[in-house]
Amino acid sequence: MKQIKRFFKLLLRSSTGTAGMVIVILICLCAVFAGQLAPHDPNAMDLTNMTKPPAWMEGGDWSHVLGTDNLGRDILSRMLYGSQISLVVGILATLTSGAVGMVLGLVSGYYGGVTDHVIMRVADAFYAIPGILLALVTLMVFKSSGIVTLVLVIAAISWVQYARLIRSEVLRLKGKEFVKASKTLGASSGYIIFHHILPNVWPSFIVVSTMSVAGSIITEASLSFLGVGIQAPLISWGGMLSDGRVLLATHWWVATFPGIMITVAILGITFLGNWLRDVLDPHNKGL
Amino acid sequence: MSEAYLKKEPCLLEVQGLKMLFPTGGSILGKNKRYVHAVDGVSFSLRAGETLGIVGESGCGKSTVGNLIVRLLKETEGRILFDGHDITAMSARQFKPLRKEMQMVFQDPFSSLNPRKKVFDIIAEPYHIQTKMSSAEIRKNVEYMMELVGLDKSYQNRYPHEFSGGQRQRIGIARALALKPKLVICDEPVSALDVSIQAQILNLLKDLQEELQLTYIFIAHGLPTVQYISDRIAVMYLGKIMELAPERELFEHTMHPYTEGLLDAIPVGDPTKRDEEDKPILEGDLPSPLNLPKGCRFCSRCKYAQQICAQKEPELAEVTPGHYVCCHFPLIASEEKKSE
Amino acid sequence: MKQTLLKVENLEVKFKTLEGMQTAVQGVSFDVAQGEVFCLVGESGCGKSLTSLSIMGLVEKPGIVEADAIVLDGQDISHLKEEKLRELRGNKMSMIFQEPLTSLNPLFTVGNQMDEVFRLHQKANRAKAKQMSVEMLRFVGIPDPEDVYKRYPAALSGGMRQRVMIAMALSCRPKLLIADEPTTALDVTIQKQILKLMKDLRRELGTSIIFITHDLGVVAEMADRVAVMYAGQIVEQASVYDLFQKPLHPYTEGLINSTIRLGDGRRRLPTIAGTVPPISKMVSGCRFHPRCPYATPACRENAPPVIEIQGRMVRCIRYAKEHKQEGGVHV
Repeated sequence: MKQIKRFFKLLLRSSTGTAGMVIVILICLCAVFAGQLAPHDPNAMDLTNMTKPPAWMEGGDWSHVLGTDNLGRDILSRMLYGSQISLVVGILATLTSGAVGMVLGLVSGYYGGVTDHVIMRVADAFYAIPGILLALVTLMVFKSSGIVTLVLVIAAISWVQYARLIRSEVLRLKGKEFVKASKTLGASSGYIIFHHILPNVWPSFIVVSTMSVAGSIITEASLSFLGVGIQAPLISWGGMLSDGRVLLATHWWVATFPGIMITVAILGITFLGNWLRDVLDPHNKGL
Repeated sequence: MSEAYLKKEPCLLEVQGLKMLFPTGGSILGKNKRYVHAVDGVSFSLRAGETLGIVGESGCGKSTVGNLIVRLLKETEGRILFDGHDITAMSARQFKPLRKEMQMVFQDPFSSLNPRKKVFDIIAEPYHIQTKMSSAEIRKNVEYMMELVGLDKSYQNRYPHEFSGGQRQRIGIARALALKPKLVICDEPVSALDVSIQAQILNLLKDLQEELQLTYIFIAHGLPTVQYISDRIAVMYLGKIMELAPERELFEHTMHPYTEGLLDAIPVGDPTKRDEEDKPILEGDLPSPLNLPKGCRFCSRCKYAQQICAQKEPELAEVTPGHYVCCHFPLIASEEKKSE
Repeated sequence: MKQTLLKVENLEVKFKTLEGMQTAVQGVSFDVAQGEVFCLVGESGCGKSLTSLSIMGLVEKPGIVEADAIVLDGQDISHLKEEKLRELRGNKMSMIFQEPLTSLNPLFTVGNQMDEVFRLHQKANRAKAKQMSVEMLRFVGIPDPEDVYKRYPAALSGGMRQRVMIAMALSCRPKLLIADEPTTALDVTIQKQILKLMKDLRRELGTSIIFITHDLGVVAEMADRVAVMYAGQIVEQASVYDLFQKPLHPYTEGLINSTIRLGDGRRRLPTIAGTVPPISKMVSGCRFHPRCPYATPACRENAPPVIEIQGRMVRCIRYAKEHKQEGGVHV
């Protein structure tokens, strides 16, 4: 209880932290309650209402607050449903890449030697290939664009940052005297990793994961924009951008609103991540 | 503790020709590798109930010796006999039961405690690793240990950052003593603490030694601290023991020029005496351990150095009973010659 | 009586934290005479470093420094703007720190960094600056100054680095040198060399030195006058001889007694019980009373007065009854 109170006290002290938290919570609510919030079926075409402008513009009306696209689909509803895909892909990709990076980073840092060399050179190789290019090629070759494939591809290009971060943290912690003390007591490697290393790596892991959700959402949007990501009938912000691209000159709202959504979401998550970094920093006497 | 009593005690630890080389530079293939001789042929023995102080400046290898004895490092050469067993020949599995016989108290009271564990869990760790005690037994033991080192047992649910340096060092001592070890290696246990707290911890260590019949190796860079707690003192310089003697003997009949320099460097602690001291001070810096001088490793800073010192390395030899010196011209001996 | 170089009056350093305003240094007043070595001694967290940083104007946010006056060489510098202070730093007053490795920039050679001081403050040209730098390095007893001039800080030993720092700090002949634990990170034999160097320099240049340390042995070796700090306050101020001969404050007495000296092996060290209270939970009354062997109920309730006795100053109630209060201030 005291912890929670303290948490909020710290949160409210930082305006960007508060803003980030609010944005993230709102987006989550949108995703969870998309079915209840959306005024229309996001995939229902209405050929009588094509490219209708937003409500406040001439020709717009309040049944389609943010207007419709070239097939007459309601943009607001599509954005709400799109948040589901973005969040699911972002979170799943982060979990997958985080798990892989965490394990490899721990092994690499703790055991060192040849293992470390091999893992780190593989990581270098992955790092050397432009991520989007790798994803594009993979997705085109496998010709499957389900959520699972997309998540795996995004994870494949983002595990490296975890592995490197965790490895350097482990190296730092390994030299600490409490790890030495545990060794002199006869603790096994597993014991030391689970009791001493992991609990201390956790905070930085959480910070990077938060940031990585933002990164994954961008990657997903980019891939969908390029046409290899999420495919209809599933809706994604990137896909909406792609749909609206050709209409940009005549019907700006089709691409602009999903664009704003992506920007706000990424900003919110990044704010939250930055704030978490400050709070979880062991040098900060915060939490 | 009288020396006669000590003589009757069996030998608990014997270190023979211990060497530790750390490779530096060079490629992974092992070309152009150079070695730092962190410990370069150290031998001593330790009787049960005794305290051996190891003193020296940074880089002299004193902490490495401690780490080698508790097997945090694997030696390059040499043997360590503990209670008659050669622990250098043991596998990790064979050594595990012996681990509870020798424990370590670390220097940095901030790095030595896991910041994310409660005091109770820190002191309970030894029992979890080495014993199969029930949680009730562990609780009883932890509370006993806390009381033993002077910590209120109501503190057991607090985190390390809630404590001062001295209290944290008490937690570290409780963890080290939890399994009732025979040998405790104290690696600079008070040098990170404030003066008024240093005395508290030193007294605690002395009391615990008496109560639990502990044998200590006390490693520090300050002679006064080492001297306060030790029965015998080894002075190390660049990986070798320069002088090894009973505590009194070392100060009253200093034989090695380096020990003399160390003693002269200690601030007098009395302003009325400072103006008298026009004694020459130990000049120069430690040579790089990668590039040791030929012959005696102290000769580059030694004011008594003669030709042979730069050519032939002296051996640690017993000059008077129990007093070992690694010098071609031990000070007392040469004074005696002068007076002859 | 020598001329006063620095006068600090009622210095206070506060920090704004989650728990509210916390006072780390409180009611600190002292002065330093020309050519004097003034030691500030105390344990970690007692405010001795903050005191010196306040004089230099180097206390960083969220720290707030307040003082009635900080007069250096006749000029009140307590309200000076940052640019004005920057002119004084390195010129009239300079500072050396505990860890010379972190106070030297690892990317530039010793020479680069030393030249900069001369070129900045004395507008010397390149050749002149180099000549002055080498001269200065020789002055602080570096055996091969031309060689050290060309080296990077990482290639020097701790003792050499501290000599370089001293050379840099003294290069503009400041009137005041603040040395914050300059020998704590060094080995004893090197400490001895540096202390000797500082004493020699003081004699030759007449620089006043504020020497901050936790080590009473070093105080006995260096100081002319000493201020003992405890929990953010000066509890005793006296000449070094008086202080060691007859410490007045119970804390000073405890500190002197619990310092280990050679030959102490056969006696049990007296200790000061307990620990320093954290500034967030400062005790009422006298800040030392929970650890004081002479504490009375009155110590718990009333902050002790500052009492002057025979040119000494002590913050303890025990001396209030016996001596007439001369301008004693109730805090």
